[in-house]
Amino acid sequence: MFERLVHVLQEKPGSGWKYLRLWYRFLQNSLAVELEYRAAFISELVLAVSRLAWQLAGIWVFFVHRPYLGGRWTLWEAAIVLGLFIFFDGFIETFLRPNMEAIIEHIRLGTLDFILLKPVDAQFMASVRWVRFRHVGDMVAGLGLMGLALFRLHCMPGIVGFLLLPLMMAAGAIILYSILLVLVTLAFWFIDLTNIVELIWSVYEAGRVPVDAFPRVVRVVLTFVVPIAFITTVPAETLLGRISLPALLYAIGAAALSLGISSLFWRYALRHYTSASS
Amino acid sequence: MRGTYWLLRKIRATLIVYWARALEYRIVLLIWILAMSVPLVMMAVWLQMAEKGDVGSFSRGDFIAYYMANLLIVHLVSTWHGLELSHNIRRGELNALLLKPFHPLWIYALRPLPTKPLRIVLFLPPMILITYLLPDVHFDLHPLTWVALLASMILAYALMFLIQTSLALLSFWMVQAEPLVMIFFHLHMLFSGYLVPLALFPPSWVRTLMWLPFRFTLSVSLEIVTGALPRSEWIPTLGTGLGWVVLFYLITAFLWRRGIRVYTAVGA
Repeated sequence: MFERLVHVLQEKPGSGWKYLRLWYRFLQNSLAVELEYRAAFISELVLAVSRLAWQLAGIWVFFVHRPYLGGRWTLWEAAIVLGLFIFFDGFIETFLRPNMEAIIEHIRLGTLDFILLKPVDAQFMASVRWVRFRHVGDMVAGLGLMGLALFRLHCMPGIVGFLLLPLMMAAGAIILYSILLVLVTLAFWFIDLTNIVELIWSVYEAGRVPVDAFPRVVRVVLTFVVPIAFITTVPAETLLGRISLPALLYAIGAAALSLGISSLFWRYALRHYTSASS
Repeated sequence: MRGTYWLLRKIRATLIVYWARALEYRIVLLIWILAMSVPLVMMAVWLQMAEKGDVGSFSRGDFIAYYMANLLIVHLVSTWHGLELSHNIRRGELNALLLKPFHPLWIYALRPLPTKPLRIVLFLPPMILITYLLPDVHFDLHPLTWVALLASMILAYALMFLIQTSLALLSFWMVQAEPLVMIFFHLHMLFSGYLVPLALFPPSWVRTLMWLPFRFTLSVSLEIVTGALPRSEWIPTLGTGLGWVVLFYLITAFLWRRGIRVYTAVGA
């Protein structure tokens, strides 16, 4: 496995193919690691269902008292938001968190040098090296809930909705990734960040309900300061076919902007990285 | 008599050791306390819903009082040792504890307690401030209420500890008991009043939830301190809670006695 990795690494730098093939090898390697823990994999699947059940029940209680949440969301419409929340929760655990933890550890121990020495873009290595497949169950459960909600709503999203949903979800994923990258980059200056990261992730909890359900101040914060709204509420609106063009452009703009800022910040930090002896 | 004296000495020693450890990790503790934001999210949604009139029997002030009390009390009556205990049994790490001249389950039960005062220091001032600053936020602070509250919290902690322990002890026989503990956590969040006040479930649900053990692990304390539980019902309610504690104590004792015999010290 590692010999093949080295082989790919020695190819000409800078070609997009190389990065794609490298990523494929990373996936294979992560899967091989994961298959060592098969029992954990199965129990994670069971837990994904249990998690989905309590979260859905928690939202459902709101609808015992009011027909709409935030003035216009029905139960199953809100369930789409929750489905996206659970999907991205799984996305974080599968793709983002393992890499985040690895990089913070590298910085702390000074072993980041080994990554910087490789003939590959450091941000690429830092972002996609590990995949924790056992949490894929949450992503599947989230998508399943979205499907069930559409079925219960007798709502067949138009072709536009289906085409735009992946776009909006990609924008959401990019925003999440950017927030993460900024947090990881802070580890260059502050050694033990793991707990701060926990704290900031807890803001993500707000994504489980549509932003309209919050008091106005919270709504503004979640839209403009920490753009959680674009991760769950906006893609749900897209699927339900009630997104406006400005909101759509704003989402794409927010994704591009946050990716740009976080990448610049990462590069700035790397230039000031002085290895373990600092 | 002499036995009791030694038990108290051991309890004191354990508490002192883990108090020192809690101080070591005070920043980590602080962050873990703040990181539990789900109840705040729920409160924000309820507050927006209550702008146009009360929700069930809850006004906006009631929601604030409920969730503020929740933030403090859930930390005081919680233990999350179940996953660790299960892990320790499976990996044979229980051995080190078995060598100590003190029952391992006592150590698990006492270990979280020294972290509690820190939480009181952190949460009580903002709670008092909110009670005085916001007009509609009411707590029942009668001396008698404090006594009932304390009793309910002791029961809640005991029940939380015993339920988790009895699930975790299944690790003596099962390879994967952690998911059971996790599923208990999920049920607990939903049915203990942590996420949503139990009174806001549909009436048919409330009738069942009033009797399930989850209510006695948190909700009863919140009902007492917010004045939602009439005084005449304190004794019967606490009595029911005590019943659950006794039941799970018996289950835990039974499982421990059986389990320790099949324990092979290197995992199942």
